[in-house]
Amino acid sequence: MIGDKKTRGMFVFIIALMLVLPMVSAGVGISWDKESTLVPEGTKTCLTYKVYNPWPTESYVQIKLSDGLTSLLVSAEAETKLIPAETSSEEAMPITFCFKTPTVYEKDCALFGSLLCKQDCLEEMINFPGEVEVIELSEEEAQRGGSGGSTTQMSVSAPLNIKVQCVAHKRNYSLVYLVIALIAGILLLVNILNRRKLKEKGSKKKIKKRR
Amino acid sequence: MVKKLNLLNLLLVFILCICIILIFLENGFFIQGFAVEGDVYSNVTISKYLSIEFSPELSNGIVFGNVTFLPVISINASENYGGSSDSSNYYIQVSSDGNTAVDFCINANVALTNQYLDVLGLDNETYSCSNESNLSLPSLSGETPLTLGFVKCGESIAPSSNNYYRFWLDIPAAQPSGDYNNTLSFKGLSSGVSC
Repeated sequence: MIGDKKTRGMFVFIIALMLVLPMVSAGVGISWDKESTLVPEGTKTCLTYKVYNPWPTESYVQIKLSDGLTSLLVSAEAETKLIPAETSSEEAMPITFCFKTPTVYEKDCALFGSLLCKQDCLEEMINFPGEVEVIELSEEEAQRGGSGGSTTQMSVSAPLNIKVQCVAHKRNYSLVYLVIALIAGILLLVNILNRRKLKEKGSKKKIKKRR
Repeated sequence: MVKKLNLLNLLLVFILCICIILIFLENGFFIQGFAVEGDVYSNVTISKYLSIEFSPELSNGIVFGNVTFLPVISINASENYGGSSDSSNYYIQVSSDGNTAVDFCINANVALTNQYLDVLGLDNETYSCSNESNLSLPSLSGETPLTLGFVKCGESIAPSSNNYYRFWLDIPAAQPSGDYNNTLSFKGLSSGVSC
């Protein structure tokens, strides 16, 4: 009898759980403290955003850059990250992604298009506007296919404007000086060797004359 | 002969020295400035954070049910009036653990499509949103067709508030039968930022 009650209780509990579970949804939050970043051209930079979930169900999230920024992306940490339920903004978990700014400003090169270059930086600063998006991945999504209707997906985003900084520099002639110094050094070496040879010849002649 | 060589060597040594000095000068090895200043830094970090959650019904997807008679105009999604006082059960909550108001953007990944790749045009799936919900809000008169690009619907939703949605579907008479599906994306962003 007691066993029956227990079994009945368990059955009711399982049914209740099955009814309640599909009605629970997970949430996602994002925390950020910069909306633009200044990066010199051709350098790799990493940014960290924080994700949190103050809601009662744990959630899986993925970080993504908007289309305008994906071309710069070098690496993104953790394809999918689990955020435990009740994670407040103070306990937000960091997600890092790295990008490399392209070489966008034209250089004035005197030799072979890539040597003896100078950069005046007269052009306007180039911006890559976009956003960082944190997408909540629902486990139910895959199961819902074929039910007829629209499945739903949720994300939160923060704006990110990547400003590529032009680094001005004069034409650097070091290479030319180095080449001239090398030639001078080689000629000096040759001359010193020739001088030794001449000295040796001179001393041999003197010995012969003495004999 | 030896004297000539001596002169040439002297010249070469001179050139070599000049070149080395120039290399150092070019790369600024000799220039060192020592400035002594008293700096006082001023710093402020502005942080923003926001969090959102679907209502359970919105999380479970938008279902229009079985349609047996065609054509139909503006059939309701199953939870359009499922809440208390005929309010909508499709809503997104903005968490109180946030310090910025939230704007919402919505889009569809594709038009409703069945397993045989028949398409129900995107113009046929419409929505309306409001920051409150009752029998008349969000209103059918304010319906907008879904688009592939994100469009704003719901602006400056304060923390601890909700943004409500209703969805409707038109199906023309010639529409082939089948289970039609797509995915709607909802994006929450800091108020004032474009989609």
